[in-house]
Amino acid sequence: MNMDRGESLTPPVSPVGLSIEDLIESEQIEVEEDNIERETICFTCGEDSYFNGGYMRGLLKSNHHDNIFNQKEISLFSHTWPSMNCENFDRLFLMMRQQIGDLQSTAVISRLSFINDSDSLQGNTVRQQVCSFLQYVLDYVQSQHISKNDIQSIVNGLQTVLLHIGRLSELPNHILHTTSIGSKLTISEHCLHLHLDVYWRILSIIHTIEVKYSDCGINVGGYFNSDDQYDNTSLFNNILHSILWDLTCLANVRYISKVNRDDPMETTMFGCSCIKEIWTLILVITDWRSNTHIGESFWISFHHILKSCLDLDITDTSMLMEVDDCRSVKNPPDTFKTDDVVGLNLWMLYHLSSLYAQTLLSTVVNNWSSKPVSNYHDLEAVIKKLFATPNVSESTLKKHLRTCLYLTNDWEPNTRLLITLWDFYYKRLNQNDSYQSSRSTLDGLACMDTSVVSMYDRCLQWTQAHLDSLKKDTSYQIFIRILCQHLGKLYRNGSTQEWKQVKGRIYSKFHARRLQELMECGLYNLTVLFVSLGMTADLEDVSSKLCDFYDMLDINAITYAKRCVIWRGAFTLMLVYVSQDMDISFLADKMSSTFEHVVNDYETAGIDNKHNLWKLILIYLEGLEEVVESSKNILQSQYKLLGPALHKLLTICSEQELRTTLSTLHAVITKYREIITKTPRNSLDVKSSLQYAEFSCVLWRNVYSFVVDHSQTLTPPPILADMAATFCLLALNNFEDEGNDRKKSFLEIFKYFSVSEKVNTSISCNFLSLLLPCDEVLTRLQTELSNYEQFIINIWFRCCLILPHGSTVLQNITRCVKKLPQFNDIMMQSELVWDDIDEVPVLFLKGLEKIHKKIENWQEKMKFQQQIIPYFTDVLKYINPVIKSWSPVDVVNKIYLMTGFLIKYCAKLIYVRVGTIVAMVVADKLIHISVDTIVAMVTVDAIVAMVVADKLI
Amino acid sequence: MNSKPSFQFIHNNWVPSGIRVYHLLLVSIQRNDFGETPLHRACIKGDLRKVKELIQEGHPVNVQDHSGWIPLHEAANNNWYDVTEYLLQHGADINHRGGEKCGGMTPLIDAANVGWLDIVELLLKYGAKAWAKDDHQMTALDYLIKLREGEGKLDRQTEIKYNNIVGMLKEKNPAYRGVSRNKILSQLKTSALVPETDPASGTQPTTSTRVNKITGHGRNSIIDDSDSETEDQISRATPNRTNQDNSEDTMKEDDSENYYTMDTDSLNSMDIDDESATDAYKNAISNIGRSAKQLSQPSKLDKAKRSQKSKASALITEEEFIENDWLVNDIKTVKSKKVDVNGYLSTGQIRKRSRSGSISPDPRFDRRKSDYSNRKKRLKIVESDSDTNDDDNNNDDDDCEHEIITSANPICDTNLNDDEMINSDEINRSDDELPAVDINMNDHIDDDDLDILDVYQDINLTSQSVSVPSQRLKKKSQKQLKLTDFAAPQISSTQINSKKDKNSLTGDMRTLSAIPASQPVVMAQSAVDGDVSKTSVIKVKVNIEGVLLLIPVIDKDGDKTFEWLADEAAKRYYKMKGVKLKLTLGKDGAHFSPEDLVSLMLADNDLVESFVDSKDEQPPMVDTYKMACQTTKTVCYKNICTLLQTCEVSGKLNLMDLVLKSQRFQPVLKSIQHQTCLRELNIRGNRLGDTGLENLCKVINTIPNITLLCIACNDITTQGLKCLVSTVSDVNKKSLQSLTTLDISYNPLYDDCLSTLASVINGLPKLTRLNISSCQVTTKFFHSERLPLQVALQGSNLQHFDVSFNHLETVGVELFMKCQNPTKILSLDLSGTMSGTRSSQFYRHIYNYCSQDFCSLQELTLRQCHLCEQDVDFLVRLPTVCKNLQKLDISGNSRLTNHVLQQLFQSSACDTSNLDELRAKQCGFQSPLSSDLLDSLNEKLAARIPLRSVEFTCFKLEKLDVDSLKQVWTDKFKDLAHFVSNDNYIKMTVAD
Repeated sequence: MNMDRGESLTPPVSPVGLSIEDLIESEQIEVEEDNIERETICFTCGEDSYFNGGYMRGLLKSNHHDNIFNQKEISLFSHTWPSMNCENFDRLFLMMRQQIGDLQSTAVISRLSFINDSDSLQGNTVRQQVCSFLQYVLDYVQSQHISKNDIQSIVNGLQTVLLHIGRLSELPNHILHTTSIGSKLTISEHCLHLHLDVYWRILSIIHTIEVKYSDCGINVGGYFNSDDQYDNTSLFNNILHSILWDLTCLANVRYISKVNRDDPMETTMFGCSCIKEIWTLILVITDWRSNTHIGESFWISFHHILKSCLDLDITDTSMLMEVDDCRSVKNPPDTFKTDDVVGLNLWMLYHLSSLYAQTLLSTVVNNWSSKPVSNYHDLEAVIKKLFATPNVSESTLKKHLRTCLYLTNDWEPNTRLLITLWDFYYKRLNQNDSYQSSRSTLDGLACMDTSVVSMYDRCLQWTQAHLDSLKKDTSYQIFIRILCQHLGKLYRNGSTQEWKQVKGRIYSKFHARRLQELMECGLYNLTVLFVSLGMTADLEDVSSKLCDFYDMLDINAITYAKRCVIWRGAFTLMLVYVSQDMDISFLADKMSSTFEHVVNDYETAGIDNKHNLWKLILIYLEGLEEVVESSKNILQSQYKLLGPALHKLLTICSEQELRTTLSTLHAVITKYREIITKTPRNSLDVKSSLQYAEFSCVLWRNVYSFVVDHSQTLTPPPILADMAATFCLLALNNFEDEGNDRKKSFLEIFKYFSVSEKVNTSISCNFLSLLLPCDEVLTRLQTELSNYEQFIINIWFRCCLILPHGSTVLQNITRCVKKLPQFNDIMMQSELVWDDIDEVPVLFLKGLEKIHKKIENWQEKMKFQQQIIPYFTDVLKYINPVIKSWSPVDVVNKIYLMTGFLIKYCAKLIYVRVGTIVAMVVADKLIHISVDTIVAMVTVDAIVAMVVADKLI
Repeated sequence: MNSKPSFQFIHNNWVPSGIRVYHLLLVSIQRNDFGETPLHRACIKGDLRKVKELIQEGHPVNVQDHSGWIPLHEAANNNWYDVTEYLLQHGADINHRGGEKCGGMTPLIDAANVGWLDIVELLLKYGAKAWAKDDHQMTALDYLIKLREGEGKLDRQTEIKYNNIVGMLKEKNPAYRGVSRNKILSQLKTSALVPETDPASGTQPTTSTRVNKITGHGRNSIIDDSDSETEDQISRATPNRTNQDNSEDTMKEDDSENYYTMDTDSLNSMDIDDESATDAYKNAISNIGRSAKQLSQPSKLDKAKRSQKSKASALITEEEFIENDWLVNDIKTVKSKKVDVNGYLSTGQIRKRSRSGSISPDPRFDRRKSDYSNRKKRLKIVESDSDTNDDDNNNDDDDCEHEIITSANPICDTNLNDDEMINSDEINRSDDELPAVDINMNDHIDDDDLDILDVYQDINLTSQSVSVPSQRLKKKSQKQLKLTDFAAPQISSTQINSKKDKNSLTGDMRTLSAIPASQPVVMAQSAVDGDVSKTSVIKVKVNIEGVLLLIPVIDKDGDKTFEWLADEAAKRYYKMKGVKLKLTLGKDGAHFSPEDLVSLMLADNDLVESFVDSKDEQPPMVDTYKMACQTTKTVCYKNICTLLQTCEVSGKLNLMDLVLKSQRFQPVLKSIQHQTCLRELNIRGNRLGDTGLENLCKVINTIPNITLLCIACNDITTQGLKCLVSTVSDVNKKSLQSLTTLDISYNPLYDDCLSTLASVINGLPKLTRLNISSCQVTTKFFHSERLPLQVALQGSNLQHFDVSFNHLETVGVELFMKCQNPTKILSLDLSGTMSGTRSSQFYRHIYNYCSQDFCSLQELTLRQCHLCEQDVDFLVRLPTVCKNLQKLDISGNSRLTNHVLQQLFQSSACDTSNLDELRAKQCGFQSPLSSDLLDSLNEKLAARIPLRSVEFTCFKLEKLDVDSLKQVWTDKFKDLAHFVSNDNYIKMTVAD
């Protein structure tokens, strides 16, 4: 094309031995303007030359520019030729083959490391020349009308060129491995690109010929496939297939050498943009042909490759010993060797599928939708091949299914694939081991969720296509992902038919025996499958089906582990229900009745069974808590889970277990309270009100009663106080209730827990510490009690007697008491300065004394006394149980101390009435005991206090 | 003599005219019991005088005997050249198919069947139907080929003769047409095994009747023949023989009986062999009969007869190893010993005998040559009653055994030296029961002296010819003693035995069938004696032309013969090298009999030598190709098979544009080696590369007749070309000496190929056509030194040189032209040598060249040379200046306009111009064509040498122009004119 390029091939002769005339001559060679026109298009890395250069448009729309035929001559292979006829084509083809051969031998000799500028230049020149010629052939074919014979000879020439250039796949490795970096190509890269150029250009010429001279009946000659699988004799197809095979081989080389086998999708299939471009070009031309009904679509063309790829028997080394024609092209090429057919094909499918999204296609093809065209047929074949592989490892499955997941993400959903997958996996439900990848044991082991929440979360991730955990997922779980991905799309699009089909396919695989055969993990897998399905599609249908399956299992015959799975499954389902605001009563009824059984069993069970049963109970508790916790409201019949069995459980379980149970219940109550406090009363409809009522009812009935009862025990868990407080609060802001008999009034509860002797003091104290800081509570007390301040100080002092010095509970209470006006008044009058909150009780006593002293008016004194006395009236009552039991020691200690101070400072104050000399009684009581018992047990402080008191008396 | 008048036996075919009838009445024809007329008998005897006499007397020429044979059959069958010719000249029916019992044998087939090449030639000359078929649908050629197959190596002359005959026969057959020439050419092949000059030829008698015969005419072949014509032979041979007995007074009835029984016995003994004993027997009988008939010396009849018998039987067994010269000697010896052959051997009659097992002397020379350095002799002496046996000592002229025996037999004639082939190396007349003793004499050590000679010195003196100074025998002294002990008695007993009775003959037969080289027998005996158990598996190393093969012999039944081993070795060698050999095995310089049992002769790991009997007769290329594919584990392509098959007939192998790579081409190379018929090899457009060319060069010297070699577009560089150079210029074996056309175009030779190219031209003396089109050659090509090329070109016969599409540029073209030898070069193609848009001074160099007085250029091609108006002056003068120029092609020079055409016509219209063909396509011609142009064309057409072919394109060609051109053309050539025009294109030619 260009004279300067042509000359570079044969550099000018050095002046030695040349006549001057000739030197002048060579300079006189003027480049004709005609020849400078555009540079011939060839594959250029990063430029999408054929697309951007308008080649493709010219090809498909045939708006060829026949300007080259305006000129009489054309320069090809650095010679000038008459442009009007093809009688020189034989010679030109030979020259082209010569050039190709020359470049190839240079490339074969060359190694990557030696990048020689002149070689590279030669490579470029050859490619330019070859492309120019092929461009000429194309233009010629497009613009002229050529006789059948000439067409035939052109076709033959092209075929021979293809044969001559040889298979891309048979190039030496160092050429195939080239990855072009930068715009400057090495000779090896030129060689590779030359192949691409020749392939593409010849393909497009043959395309043009077939389209334009379709009636010619071109003789395919020797270039045919020896295997009869393609009975299509179209030359285009034959060439296309062989090109596709070569490109596949190229991809294979890359797959083998460059791709991280664990994560193949991260590496692109296209060594350079040109390889991507030629794939895209082929895609466009084949689909264009397909659309105009003259050829196979891209995927069908690729299907041939893929099919023989899959059918390829790697172990079969026997060679075809006799072939009809040495010019025939053997597919697959001999060099094609792979040990990972499935991986390779999936990888290629993935990357080829992505080609459809190329934006540049729309520049060429009108109405090009960038929506990828799916190829489920082949994908399915690959997947089937994968599954047919014996002993396929989990890691392999994981890897391939991941690709599959990504691949089909862009495609429309397909049920056949799902069924294929399911057919594989339903057989393997029990094979948890096989899901473990060989290299990391932890991944596999962790796949079983031990909690309801994690199960739920996991299923949620799969169905919501969260990819964070994808790497950890087992292949089965990836299957679930795929399943949910497709079904979700189908379901959302309203394709219920497909959903039903898949559903039926899944359901039908289970029956009683099959279910009995399921082991723990099998059951787990079944469960997560259904949960995910439920999340994706028809929840009720799925869950009822799952429950049916559960019901098929004989509870007595199955292990606790399996029952655990079932329970978890049920609760996970409930969570799904709740998340979708659906009523769970169906499930809850089932569960609570089962729970009742379990609790009954638990009561009577031996130690071993107890342990197992407790596991179940734990699941129930966790489930309960989660269901309630995750609820936005409690309108989905959550109350049904809070059956009488819970109460029973509370009564029969040991302390440790009780704590767990109570904390769960506490959480439930708290959640309940939280919900009802947030819910505006009048917004509720009847149904909701009923739900609330039911909930509160079961709470009071099954929980509160226990709280009341249990708070009377000697060592109630502190949480009981919390619960009591919560209940109290519930009562506080409860509605004017719906005739709930069990329900107590606030004051009742408050008084009971704060002052009742039955209630364990620790509970009381805690109860107070929880409630007193609550303004609401105080306000309520203020309205309901006339002398609420005295009442509070009274119970405060009780706390002071019992709670140890520095107790936070006491501090909390004290802080609240301090805010009382009466108390505050006293402290103000006493003018005592106190910084340490722990000192407050003693200072308070001191203050009382001080005020008492200050008051000179007897009447006032009396009045003051009258005011003070209720504070301490119940002291004796409070200390009695402790004194009697003489334990615990620290409490006894504290009592002595505080009574000591009380007597010390307030003896006069409280020595008021006949018969009610509090101080004396107290002192007497204390001393009497002290005589009886070991002095050592009494702290020095106490003794001092007693002495002081004695003196006073 | 039971002859009686036989007027009644007048045959229609014999009575062409009344005159003859008259004659016939004059001559009383006496027939014997077999219906043989005197003429028959004379023809059998070969008595030309008698034949002439009889014919002149009016004896019918085409009279049949009882079996249906006419005299011509007899003459031809018995190889009487003169007689045959005479008969033919006197009206013998050349294509007579004989009577009912003759199986449709024409004289030609008859002669071919027994291998009388000269007779065959003669018959053909007289117009025998070459393609007559006998009742078995066999033609003479078939018999010859069959015969040849059964043969080993032929001597050179015979082979040439054979090939000529075969060629002649083929030439006449449509099915074979075109092949024969190759065959004939193949005779010129130099073989390492056949010396350039044949020393044996000088020793051959030069009797006029002497004819060429296929050497080593083996029993096998006869047996084969008999497969198809057993009945005929019997029906023919038997009466003949009896007739002979009767007609020859000297022959007694008893004797004939004897013969008969004896033959039966021999048949019995032959039954031991695996071969078709019946056939062998029948052959033997027929041979004996025929041979016996030929005895011309009644005085020696008894002996002769016996010798005949023994010979005949010997022949039967001998065939498989026939080629061995030492056997010839031995045979000779025996013969001389047993039969008084004085004068007998010197006559042509001997040939009769040789018919059944003759060997040309030549192979012996070959053998001798090859084995010269390693002479080994084996003597076998059979105890007491038994006979001495053959021996082999490859001494120059005679062998030890020869001497010994001749010395023991004073009757022996000096004629022994005659190279006449005499069968029956077997001197063994021993009966079975007699143990044989073997003496091995190895003369590895030269200084070990001639003990045997010493011992027999005095006896030997009788025969001068025997004593050859150079002869040296080495033997183990112990065995030597044995030899000494037994030699004399043995010899005498031989004679006695041979005369004795059929028993001895039976034994004779037996031994013969078993052991030509008697060593095996001895070993067998000793093996049995020594109670050596037979090993069932042994490994044997066989050395074939330097290749050592290790062959396992699994020999359970102990019946594997050397024939088998030879076949096995040959098979393996063929697989390895793709060259089919026919082998004879031997050890220590001696040959084994093909029939000997391997197990008896060889121990584990023995090294066996092989003697190549032939290798020129290659199997069809297709077979070799397929085999090569198998061995190299490459794919076998059917289309290549087809092409190879085509090549078998045409001699042209066309593997164009198959894009075979070097490796894939390898099987093809194997298949073409030694293919003498291959004349043209076109492998353009493959991808041999330098490696492939190198491989090709390795085999090219085995294809001596190749005239065309096209290796265009094969990625060949100068490096590869150098291989070619070294092949063609190899001092020892020059290859491609017949090459006339070499095409190396479209190869990346680049500029530095000049000296290599020059060497190529130098090495190819017959090269007339060379094509280096588009070889990336530029002006720089001449830069270094153009002298080698110039020298090479001046010395060569190159006539056609194509350098088109190389950027020679003006300077390059100038230098190129300077290199040429203008007296030789007939055509030059300089297309596309100019890359500039203007051709500059280009024309000047061409002009200078063409205007030389002695320039013989006839054809000049200047396409796409950027010729323009400036060059027109030169261009139009070319036809006048360049006197021999006939063809000019200036296509593709778009700047040339109409007036160039016109002026060319004008200038070539002169009487000195020879221009008769002009091509100017894609030039800048445009319609309308001026009337001047048409006038000038007319002028040219009227000139001494008119244009006979004009081709050009013309833009916007108008119909008027076309019509006027057509008119001009048809006016000139009338009916012969061919006129084609379409679009812009016009072609005007003249039919021949």
